[in-house]
Parts: sequence; structure tokens; C-alpha cells
Amino acid sequence: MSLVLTCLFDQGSLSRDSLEALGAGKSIAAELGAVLAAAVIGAETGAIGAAAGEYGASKIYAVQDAALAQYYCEGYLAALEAVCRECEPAVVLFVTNAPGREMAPRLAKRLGRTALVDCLSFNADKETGSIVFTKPVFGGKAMAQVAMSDAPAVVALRRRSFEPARPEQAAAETIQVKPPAIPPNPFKLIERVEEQTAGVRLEDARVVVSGGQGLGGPENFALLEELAGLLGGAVGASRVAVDSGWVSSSKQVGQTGKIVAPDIYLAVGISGACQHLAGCSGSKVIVAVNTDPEAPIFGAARLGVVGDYKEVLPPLIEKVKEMA
Amino acid sequence: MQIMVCLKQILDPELPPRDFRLEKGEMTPAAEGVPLVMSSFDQNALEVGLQLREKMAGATVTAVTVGPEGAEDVLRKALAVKADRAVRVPLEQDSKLSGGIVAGLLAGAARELGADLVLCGRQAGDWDGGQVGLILAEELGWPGANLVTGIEPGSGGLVLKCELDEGYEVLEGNAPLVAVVTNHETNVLRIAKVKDTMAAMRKKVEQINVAPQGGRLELASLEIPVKEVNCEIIPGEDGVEKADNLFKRLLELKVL
Ligand SMILES: Cc1cc2nc3c(=O)[nH]c(=O)nc-3n(C[C@H](O)[C@H](O)[C@H](O)COP(=O)(O)OP(=O)(O)OC[C@H]3O[C@@H](n4cnc5c(N)ncnc54)[C@H](O)[C@@H]3O)c2cc1C
Repeated sequence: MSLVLTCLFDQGSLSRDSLEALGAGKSIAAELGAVLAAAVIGAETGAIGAAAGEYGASKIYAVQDAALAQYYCEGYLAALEAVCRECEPAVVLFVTNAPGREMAPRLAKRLGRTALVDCLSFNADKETGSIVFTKPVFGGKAMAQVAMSDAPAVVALRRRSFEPARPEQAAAETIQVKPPAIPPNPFKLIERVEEQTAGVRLEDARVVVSGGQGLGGPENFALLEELAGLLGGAVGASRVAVDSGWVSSSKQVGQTGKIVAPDIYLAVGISGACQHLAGCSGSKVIVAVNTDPEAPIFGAARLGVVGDYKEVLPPLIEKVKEMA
Repeated sequence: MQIMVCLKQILDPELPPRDFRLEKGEMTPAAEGVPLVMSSFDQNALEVGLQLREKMAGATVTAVTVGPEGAEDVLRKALAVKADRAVRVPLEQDSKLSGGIVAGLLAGAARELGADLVLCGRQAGDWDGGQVGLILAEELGWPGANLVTGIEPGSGGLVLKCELDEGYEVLEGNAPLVAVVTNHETNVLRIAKVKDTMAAMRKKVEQINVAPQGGRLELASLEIPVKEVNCEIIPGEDGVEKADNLFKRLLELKVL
């Protein structure tokens, strides 16, 4: 029976990304009549393997080694390569988070394939076992359907595009895999700075207030901070605002930034380039505030305010304060 | 230090969706009338290379592109911001989903040039493949650092700043290596002086021939998605009225 392998890099407990990979893997396996498997890697993989089993994987391929306590590309690649040689999967799934983005193309190359990164959906053909994945190209102006007919199809899924797996009662079999060698990390870690966000994380926020080039400078982000703060939300930004140094790059929303799906996405002074919309199109209600009635953002927003944000945001903030 | 920066010429990614069309009967976008530009993350990579050269005596920056003769425009742009050399690896086939082939050609060029550090943008702004630099690391058998925003010379090699999903990390590594670059306020490409742009027109573009190898992914279809969003414009004479009405609608939609 063929195998769909989801690659999990978490230590201890499953992240939302991993749950999405398992969720997608489950439906692909169902369509192909295949078995869902998970690769787990670390110094101690017992807990994460058990969690993967609880969330639908019926086979767990574990690579356990003290050298793999923390993610690093070369080591984890060697581990995954060994797993793939052991189980010869039909499909290998990653999520396009930082590790997934770098692992998918490199693993595919080692297996003599080319990966497909940032996929949104799939269509499987049970008869031929071939799968067609949909991937946005040209910043989302077009959708490419790519036929992955040679096994393994190595694919990285766009975040927040697949339903996370749900827990189920099932028994999983664990197979320990030993790579022939685990290369040392060619890079020495000098410093890791985890960004501390006061308040909610951008990706978990129910309300996101994003600013772009139209804000004209970093000081004007204060208004957005205030509004987001009152609504228990978070501040995001367009790439231009990041490149101008107005906000830190972890706030960038879009195809090459964070993917968010809040109840309200308020885009302030953002023109609505598709590369930006790729990061917020899953929002319940997109609200645009823009001086230019022709701005493409009005083609994506549910509610639009044509006007200068400096005249609209302060009274909006007052309204929200009254409500509180 | 021989720094090689990989540059791709693409259709302007800022072209608004309403002007984006496909070539009739073909799975490729209509190029007529659309400006060609240097892919934006490649611009970031070039800037990272230029800044590193300024900090390392004797370092050189070689701009390399894979493509037809017309793609030499991006090399001229690189020469205009003072890249030392410009090299084109000819490839006449179109670039759709050809990341694997292109990475192979770039690896050939890197070997021929004796490069120690190869810089690439994280993904091209046309087909959004997002893998050339990473496959290149595999091809060359070199370490690869991903989502790099800047590189400095360090006491024991190169010091690379890399983005994480939340935050960043600083790594130290030894050349040869491949760095895949992402955008940051510190790596926006400098603007060329007019006289340097003129001078770049007269500079030589070298050519390195490498035999293309490997396959590309199989494109089954290419379509422009239809959007069915109807934007409701919030009425109001002034900012206060608009804010009031917007607030009301958000309450009605039960999202506040
Ligand atoms: C490969 C690739 C990946 C990319 N990834 C991303 C990404 O992840 N995220 C991202 O955001 N971009 C991304 N981009 C860039 C994207 O294409 C756009 O360049 C960018 O999103 C534009 O940012 P902006 O809307 O802030 O600026 P602009 O397009 O300049 O828009 C500014 C807007 O502000 C309005 N405005 C001006 N003054 C006011 C005012 N007083 N009040 C209200 N409105 C005002 C203007 O009318 C205008 O519509 C990517 C590009 C490429 C090629």
C-alpha cells in the first residue's frame, strides 16, 4: 500500500502547522487509498510520535538521536532522506514555514525530484496514483495546476490553507530509522532572538490592523497600534512598510510574510497587491481604508472606506473606546 | 572572496491583476507591453553581496543570470551598481517551473567562476518557485542558509543574519556556502548613478555555456482566478461619518 509521509519538526507537542500537514495528509491518503505516515525527528521523539498517531498517522517513522535535539537543515535532511529510503513514500508533505521552505526543495533533489512549494489544494486520481496540486504563481495573479506523476511527489503546503487534523482513536506502529550518518551543523549558532510580542501573536489575532506605504512613516503606526490594542488585535504591515524600516519584518503579511485569517483585516494605506492579499485572503471581513478609489484592495475588500486614514481612524478609535 | 549573485529577469510583478493576461492558447502570461525587471529578492541578494564586498578587501561581486540575450538587461543593472563582472548562462527555453534546470546551470557557472559564496533571492516574482538557491546548495554540496537578510565578515568566517518565523538568528559559517536572501530594511538595492548606468552599457557581458540537465515540473493548466468579492463602499460626508458607518457595519456583520 502506498504511503503519504508528513514531515514534522516539532519537539514535544504538535504545532498548528503540523496539524495542517496531518490534516492534508489524511485527505490525500484517503483519496489515493494510501496510508498516512509521519516522520518525527529529535533527541526524544516518543511524545511527538504518539501525538502524530493520535492525530491520524498510522505509521510513525522516528529518527532519534541526541545530535538532532534542535532543528538544523543538514541534520534533519539526512534524517528525512533515510526515512524516505526506508518507506518509499508516494507523497512527502511539508508546510511552508521556515524549515519546510528549505527542506522540501533539498529533500526532493536528493530523491531525484523537484519539489512544489506553496500549494493551496490538490486533486488525486486513485486509478493512476497521480496528483495535481494547485499553486499560485505570478503573486497569485494566476493559478498553476501541476501534475506530480512521479513518486515521490514532494510538496510544501501553504499555511492556513488546509484544515488541521482532529484527534482520533487509532493505534500507530512506530518504526525506528537510523540514518547512515548525521552530518554536523555547518553553521554555528551565535545568537537566536525570539521576537517577544506584547499582546496577541499576529497569526492568532482575531483582528489585524495592517499599514502600508500610505502611512507615510513609522510614527503613524501608533494609530494602528492603538486601534489594534483596543480590539485585542495585532498590527501587520505590507512589504513596503517593512522595507522602509517602519516596522519589523516579522509583521509582514503576504505571500512571503505571515498568513493571517482574522475576523477583521483592516488594510490601511495598502494598495492590495496580490502578493499582499495572499497573506490575508482567508480573513472573514477585509476592510480597506485608502484614498484611491481605484486601488486594487477595493477589489478584495468586503467593506471599503475611500478616504484619508488620518481622518477615519481617530473617530473609529473613539467609537471603539465608547463601546468598551 | 568571490561572491556570485544570481539574478533573474521577470515580468514586472507589480503589474496589477486587471492588466495581467495569458497568451492565447498557451500556459504562459502575455509579455507584450509588460516591463521586464530584476526579480525583487534578487535585488536584495545583490545588495547583500555589494555590502559584504565593501567590508572585505579583495572581494569581488559577479552577477550571473540564466536566460536569453535579452536577460542581459538585469546584468547591466548590476554593473550599474558596480558589480565587478557580469555573466550570462544561455538558456532559450522559457522559465516556467524550471527551478531544477536553472539551479544546475548556476551550479556549473559557480564552479567555472570559482565562486566561494553564492547569493540567490528566496523566490522569483514570476513563477514563485522558491527553490533555486536551495537546490543549488545540494548541487554544489555546500551548506545553505535560508532567509538571510545580511552577511558580515567575522573572525571565524562569515556571519549571517537569518529570519525565523518569529525573530531571527545569527549564524557563523565558512565559505563555500549558498545564502538565500529575503527582504529587509537593510538590503533594499541601492540606486545607480546616472553616469554608472551609462558606463554599464559599454561593459562586457561574459558568457558561460553549461549543458542543461534535469526535468521540469509538468504544468497541467494555468488559469486566472475569478474573484467574486463585491466591495461595499461605506458612505459618509467626512471621516467621522465614515467611521460611524463602518463601525455599524462591523457590528452588523458580528465581527466586532
Ligand atoms: C515575489 C514577491 C513577493 C512579495 N511578497 C510580499 C508580501 O509578502 N507582502 C507584501 O505586502 N508585499 C509583497 N510584495 C510586494 C507587493 O508586490 C507590493 O509591492 C506591496 O505589497 C505594496 O505595498 P503597499 O500597498 O504598502 O504600497 P503601495 O502599493 O505603494 O500602496 C500604498 C497605498 O496607500 C494609499 N494611500 C496613500 N496615502 C494614503 C492615506 N493618507 N490614507 C489612506 N491611503 C493612502 C495609496 O492610495 C496606495 O493605494 C512581494 C513582491 C514580490 C515580487
